[in-house]
Amino acid sequence: MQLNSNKSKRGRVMTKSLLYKSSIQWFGVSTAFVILSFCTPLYASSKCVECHVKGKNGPDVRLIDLKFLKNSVHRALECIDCHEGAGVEPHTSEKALPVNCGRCHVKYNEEYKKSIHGQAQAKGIKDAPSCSDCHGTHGIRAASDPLSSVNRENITQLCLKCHIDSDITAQYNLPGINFFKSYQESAHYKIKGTTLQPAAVCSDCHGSHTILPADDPFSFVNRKNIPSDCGKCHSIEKKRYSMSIHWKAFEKGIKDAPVCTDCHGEHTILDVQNPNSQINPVKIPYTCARCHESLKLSEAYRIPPKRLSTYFNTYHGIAIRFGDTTVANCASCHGYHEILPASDPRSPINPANLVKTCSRCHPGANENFAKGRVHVDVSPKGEKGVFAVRVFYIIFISVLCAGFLFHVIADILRQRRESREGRRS
Amino acid sequence: MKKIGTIENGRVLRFSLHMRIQHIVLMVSLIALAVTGFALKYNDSVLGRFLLTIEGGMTFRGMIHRFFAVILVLDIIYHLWYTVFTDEGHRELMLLKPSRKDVTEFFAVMRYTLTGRGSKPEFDKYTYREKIQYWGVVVGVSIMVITGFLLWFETASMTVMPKWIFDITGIVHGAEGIILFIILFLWHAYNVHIGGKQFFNTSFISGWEDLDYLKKERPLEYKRYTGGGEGV
Repeated sequence: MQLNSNKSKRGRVMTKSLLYKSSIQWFGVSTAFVILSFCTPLYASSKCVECHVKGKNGPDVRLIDLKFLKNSVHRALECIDCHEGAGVEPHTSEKALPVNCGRCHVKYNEEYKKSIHGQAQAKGIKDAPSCSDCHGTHGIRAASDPLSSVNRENITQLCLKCHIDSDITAQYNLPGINFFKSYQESAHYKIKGTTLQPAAVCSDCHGSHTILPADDPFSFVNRKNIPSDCGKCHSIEKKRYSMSIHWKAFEKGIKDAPVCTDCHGEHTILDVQNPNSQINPVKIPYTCARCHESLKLSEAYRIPPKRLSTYFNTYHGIAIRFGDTTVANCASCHGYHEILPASDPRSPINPANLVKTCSRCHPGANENFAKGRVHVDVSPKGEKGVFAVRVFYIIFISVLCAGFLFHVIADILRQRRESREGRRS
Repeated sequence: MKKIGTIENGRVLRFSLHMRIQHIVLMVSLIALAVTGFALKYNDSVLGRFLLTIEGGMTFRGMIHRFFAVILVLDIIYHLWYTVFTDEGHRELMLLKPSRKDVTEFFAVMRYTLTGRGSKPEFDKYTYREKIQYWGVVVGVSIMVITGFLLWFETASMTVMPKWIFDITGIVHGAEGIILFIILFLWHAYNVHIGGKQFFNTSFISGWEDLDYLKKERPLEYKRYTGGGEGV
């Protein structure tokens, strides 16, 4: 009644009293929980213990080790809470064994049913994991418990149990074993967070109960969802990438436009400092070239072709191929996450920004420095003047060589003739 | 210092110490520049990659190249001083002046070489062969030095030059390198060390040459040294 009368009063008072009421509730629940935890646990007082722990009814009865239950998060539950069928006579294993976790865990159960694992289970594929395959049975622990099979520490091993099993991957047409193993070489696995656990584990990217294959549009790792998936941790990078022409193109429905994984790799993601990383300064030209040297893509989307070959003709391109990382690579001029076309005023290669971009490495660069074409295509279709100089030198050197060789050969023949004549006379 | 034309023990001094120092410094620096330059130019090939490896990678290769570029420039300054401000150098330069005689000599040699008719012309110290290599190297090295400095100080040069000149500069520097290499290895090395008196003529180190050989191959020069007379 007190509460009702408060309702008509000012909201602040109402909130206060509500808070007061809920605190009492919480106090009650938590006290009960603590008392329950310290008192003789329910599982031990259960009727089931007589047969299933103490083995009173002979060896045909399945025995349960209480040790596991004691440490379980479910230690406050009765056997019958999970094994609903056990209370119904006759007391058969067919009835007693099935456990419906969804009775309590409604949300997770719904998610699981939609996942690829749930769908496969529904189809009767016994190899697909059910709740207990990942979480365990009697010894079930909270995910935050380091001893839990689904703890971040252990989840990799848990997923790999099936995903590096060659029989399973072959039977269900799953990605190759090395694809999964390569994760263990990645920065996500090797770089440890504050808890000394891998920076990102399977479930961080793929989700846990909601897991779906990458080609499913609802999958976390579907290409259209990749930026938001990676953005869960790499929020600044995601924000910058969202500005880029790559993402703008992808949003327009151009599926060839790159998302995070196209440049960084998937399981094999490596730190930029790692020489094997696709985004290492030495490797970046090849990574960009997968699209920007492709005739097919440059014609399809009207983007400039031959970006790699014209870069490799320059000193920048030659030096980087031999491991000199001080020279400019693609990203040095074009940026990386927020890549924009030259026409965009925010782009580092926009004519208005070029002086600033060049002078990052060439201090003293001025307006004139930044003028002119950088990706020089020396061909009759590209830079005609430069091409003409090259052709002139090819001809000039050839003629010079021919002239010298002619003179040398004629001289050798003369000497032979002279020595013949000298011998005769 | 012994003068050019000094005769001792049937041999004559053709190249003074000045000339020999200039020549050796030029030789060493041009070989080093060629080896480090071709490593960059032919980086696509097995040869280029091999050269790059033995030169300690891209960065160190560049340092070697620029070091010898400085040596070459110092040698050029020495040579300019020698030809302009010393009597000896000036005389030698005048002997290298191209003239109509070179054209007639060239055709006479060609006629004699190809048909066997006529006779070899009476050569002076520098024939058209030496003049081609000297002036070839002068033009080539001048272009190399100019383009080389433009490429070395790329920021400075690009602040004043259009980009297309810079692109051409790179091509010219590489092509002139090949031309110099051809002049020196296909022309100069054959004429001096293979098609000449003997394999590896050591005259460029000692400066001395046999009078008998000189009498046969360079009669005019021989006469100048011996005062026109026979047998000294």
